[in-house]
Amino acid sequence: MLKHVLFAAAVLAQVAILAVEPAEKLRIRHVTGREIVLRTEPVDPYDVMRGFYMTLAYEIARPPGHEAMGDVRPDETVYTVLAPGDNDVWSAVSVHAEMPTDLGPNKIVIRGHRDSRRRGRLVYGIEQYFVPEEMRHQISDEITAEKERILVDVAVDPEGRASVLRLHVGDKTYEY
Amino acid sequence: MSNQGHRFRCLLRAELDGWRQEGLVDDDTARALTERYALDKLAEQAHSVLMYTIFFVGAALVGCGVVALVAAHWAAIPVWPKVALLMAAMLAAHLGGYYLWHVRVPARPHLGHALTLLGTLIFGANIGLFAQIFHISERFYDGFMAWALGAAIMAYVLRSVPHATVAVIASWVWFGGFVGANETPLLVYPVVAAAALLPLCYWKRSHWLFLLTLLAVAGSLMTNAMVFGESTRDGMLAFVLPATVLWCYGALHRREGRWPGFGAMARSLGALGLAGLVYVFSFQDMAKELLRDSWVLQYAYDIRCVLALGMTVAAVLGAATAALLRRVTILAPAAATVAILGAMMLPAPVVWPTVAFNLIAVALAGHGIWRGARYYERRPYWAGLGLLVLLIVSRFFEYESHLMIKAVGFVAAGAVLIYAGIKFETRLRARSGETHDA
Repeated sequence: MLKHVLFAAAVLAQVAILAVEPAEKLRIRHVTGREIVLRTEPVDPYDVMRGFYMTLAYEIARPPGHEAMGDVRPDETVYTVLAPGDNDVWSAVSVHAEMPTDLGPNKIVIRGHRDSRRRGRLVYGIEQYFVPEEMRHQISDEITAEKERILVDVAVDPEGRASVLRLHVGDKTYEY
Repeated sequence: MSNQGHRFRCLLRAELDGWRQEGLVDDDTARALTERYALDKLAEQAHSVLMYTIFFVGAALVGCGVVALVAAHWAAIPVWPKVALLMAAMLAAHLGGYYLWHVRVPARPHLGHALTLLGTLIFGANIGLFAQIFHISERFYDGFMAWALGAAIMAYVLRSVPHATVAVIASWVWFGGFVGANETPLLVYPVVAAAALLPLCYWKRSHWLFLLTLLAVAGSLMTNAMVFGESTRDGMLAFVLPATVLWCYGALHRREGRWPGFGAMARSLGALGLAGLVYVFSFQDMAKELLRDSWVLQYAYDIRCVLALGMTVAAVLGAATAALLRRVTILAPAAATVAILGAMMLPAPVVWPTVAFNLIAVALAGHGIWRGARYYERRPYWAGLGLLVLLIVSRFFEYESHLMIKAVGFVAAGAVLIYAGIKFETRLRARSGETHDA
């Protein structure tokens, strides 16, 4: 009997491990997150799709003052303060080593790390957007044509954790 | 059942029929030997290995197929049915496998075990696929840590070496990914790997898993030391540390007199690491590299050196309570470690480290030859002799000297090698003859 219980516990443990990250993303998207719009572009305009996803380079990857934090290790968390700008697109205001406590009105914080592959940039865990195989070429062509008009809807929770909601390329919206 | 190797048992079974027919052993003795060495289970075990191989390869192929199928990001299916399908595939494999293995009468252990392994492979694939479905772009290596954790839990619950193998390999990727991306050592990995895997190695008496665990621990110690430091000395320490740990671990096994296969494996890996290190630094240019920076005594206080010295002292203390012959086995690497660390720390002209490393290499080679000749073991004998010849040949190529001298040296080294080899093989054959006569 104990053997059966232990096996059931092991299977449940695997299910729990699988569920942790998706549950976190769903919580941010549907419960605690606030929706904002970020301007972005593909990180490599000549090779938009890498396999089934595109790697996005957000404007907020280079917030003001981040170069002064050059010695931040990739495994250390940094906090970027965002505020809404033109056309309700949010942009970075400042970057901090600790979670800012007094933000002021209409500002939010997003957690990031130093990008270990591309020096001088920050990443926020929202840089990959997966698309269906049959849509790859269409989206890739549209992105190449509309390089200046790519926006991403992102949900950010009060702790600064973020999750991608949808992608806007020109006048089209993609949500997978 | 006596704890003897598979080859010996196969040979004994083949010989036993002949002995019985020739009247060398009677039926009772043959029966006693069959029982003692479980010779009647050999066919069953061979069948078992074959079935495991077939089912595991089959399960791995099905797992690859599942990954390829769903990795295409099938857009036609909405998110939640997709999640349900992936979960159902994993649960079906696990529960079906467990039913066949532990519930069904009669049980189908091979197929059941293979299906649970398939469940853990699907679990790993699902981690990647869920990341795709929910746009999780965290650091890729974290997914491998999650896979390693899930596989390790299942390995313990099912006492399964294949699940543990998946856990070790996934944890390697996690370790490599973390260290590569963050350019910082992951000091906790060797400790966690040893603590998590060694009990299962002993529990299952699995040499395969033990080898993987040793490689994981030694490899991560080495990588950590290399990432930690920037100088040649740190690079050296990166070899000395894991090699000493392995050798001392093997020597402790020898002292205990249990699990001889495990001890031999640890010792061999340790010897290989030490021999490789001293061989590299037996070249004068490499020794010069060591002396490029001024020798700073602060290294003596460096925590890494203290750790290495601590282990050496522990090995020496262990040796003090062991029998004389065993003491030599433990003291040899300890002396090598002290000499290497001494060479690292003491101010000296370049000739001394070079001489020291050559002497240590010769001592290691001599130890292998002595051990082989003393215990009639081929592997250490030829390894020691090979290292000795390699050192001689390397020194001849390294230093400018007349061709005539080189020619004489090569001929002498070759002749010594052939002579020593013939003597050793003759001795082995004579011993084998004595055993047969007896």
